[in-house]
Amino acid sequence: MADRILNWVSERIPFDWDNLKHFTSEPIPRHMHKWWFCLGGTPLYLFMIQLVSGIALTFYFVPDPSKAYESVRYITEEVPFGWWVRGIHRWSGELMVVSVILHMMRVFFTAAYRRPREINWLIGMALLITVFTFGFSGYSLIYNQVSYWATVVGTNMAAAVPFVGEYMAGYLRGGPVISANTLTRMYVLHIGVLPTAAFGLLALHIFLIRIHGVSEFIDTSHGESRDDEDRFFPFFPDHLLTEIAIGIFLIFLVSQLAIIFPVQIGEPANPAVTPEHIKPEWYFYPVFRWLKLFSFQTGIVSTIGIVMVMFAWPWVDASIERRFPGREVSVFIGIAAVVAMVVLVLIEGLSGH
Amino acid sequence: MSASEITPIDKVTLGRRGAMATIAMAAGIVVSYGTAAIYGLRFLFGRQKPPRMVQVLSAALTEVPDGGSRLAQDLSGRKFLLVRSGGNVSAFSTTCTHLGCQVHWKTEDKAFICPCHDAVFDANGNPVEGPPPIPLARYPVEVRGSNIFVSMPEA
Repeated sequence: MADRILNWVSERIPFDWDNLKHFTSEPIPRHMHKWWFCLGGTPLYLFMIQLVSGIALTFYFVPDPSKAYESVRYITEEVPFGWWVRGIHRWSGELMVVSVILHMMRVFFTAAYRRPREINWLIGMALLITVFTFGFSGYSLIYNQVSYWATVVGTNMAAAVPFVGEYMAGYLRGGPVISANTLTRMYVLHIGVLPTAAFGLLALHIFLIRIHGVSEFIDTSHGESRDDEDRFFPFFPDHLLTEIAIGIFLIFLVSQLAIIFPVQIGEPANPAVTPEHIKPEWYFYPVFRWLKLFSFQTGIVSTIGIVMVMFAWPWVDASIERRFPGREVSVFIGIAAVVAMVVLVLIEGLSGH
Repeated sequence: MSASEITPIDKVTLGRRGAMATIAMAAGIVVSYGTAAIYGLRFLFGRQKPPRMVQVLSAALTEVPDGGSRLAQDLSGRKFLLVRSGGNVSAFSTTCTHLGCQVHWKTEDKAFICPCHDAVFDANGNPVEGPPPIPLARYPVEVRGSNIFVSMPEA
């Protein structure tokens, strides 16, 4: 009977299942036993949490300027466990940003972006931009004061980009000023365009990791060498179990955060008055403070410049390495960049205005 | 045709006629998909018509002291500043010229403060501190009899 079922299935799905075994037994370098190196799987897991909680929220959210805020209030205060689902969506988003930044720092400081893995760094950077755009479009949907004015500032920043700015802003706003079209666009971006882009980029990211293999990190100071026989362990089941354990911890953590720090809704949007104290989400603090420090064009152009250098980093690093071989100048630049980011976040976070 | 009869792609010789046909076909594909893409992009760009200008009765001339200013607002609550010098009245938008937030009038400092990026404009709308590149926008003003009318974009 079992054979007949198997035959029935294999006739309809003519796939050699041994291939799957080959696919899942990818050798994983032993340093991946350390949790610090499992940060790439964390955003993937959080993305799945976001997807499920986000789909749930779309059942109640109404993307209309006169109804959006009320629908978020309804979700938060009246729908059973609405506050919890919204909390999970919000907190997994925050953790997503944290884990992506940590993953990126790990990749940066272990120089895992170097040849031949430059393309995967580019895809990773595109994913970073996608995550930030998710955050921006996500909180613009709530239609409270912070989200409304963040949308105004964000679309005006796009408009200030040299040459293509006005077109970019036009596409984002769907008109010359913020209107109902803008909210619809942010919604479509948040629930349609960005998830599709993220899916594609994640698939490419993982595909490239799979065909390159995970870069090895051999700790010679602890007596490790390339000749050790136990350099690798299989993806299935060893690494998958690690990831599942991390996943369970993440669900627990996100749920606890949603309960201990319930999400707020703030004041409804008022296009006539910008509140006297206004700040974006913490992960936009560095850009927010940066724009206060410089004149208009300098602020915008330098922000674009920094992002472009980040994209081109594997090649910038290669040219630095050719000039100063073995000095690891990149590490010092990386440390300086991280310190600068932390300082900007702290200055903005601690300042009253 | 069995698989062995198919000529491998690198063995296919195109010839002049074939090459022309391929180029014509490729051009056709580029033009047709290109046209569709342009229409699609224009559809997504939307109607970028600037908002209609409406005239708002702002204040009586006597309500704005000569050489001084007065903060007025339209029916949607949007604020703007009236500055009078003799019979001349100017109206300033309160939209920050940096990134579009609404500035606040601080009476004690006699200045506009933008809460978004700490910009400061003086009572005449000129940037004094912070990142704004240009002064606050001026709205056209018409004084009819003893009333001040300001033309501003519809909210």
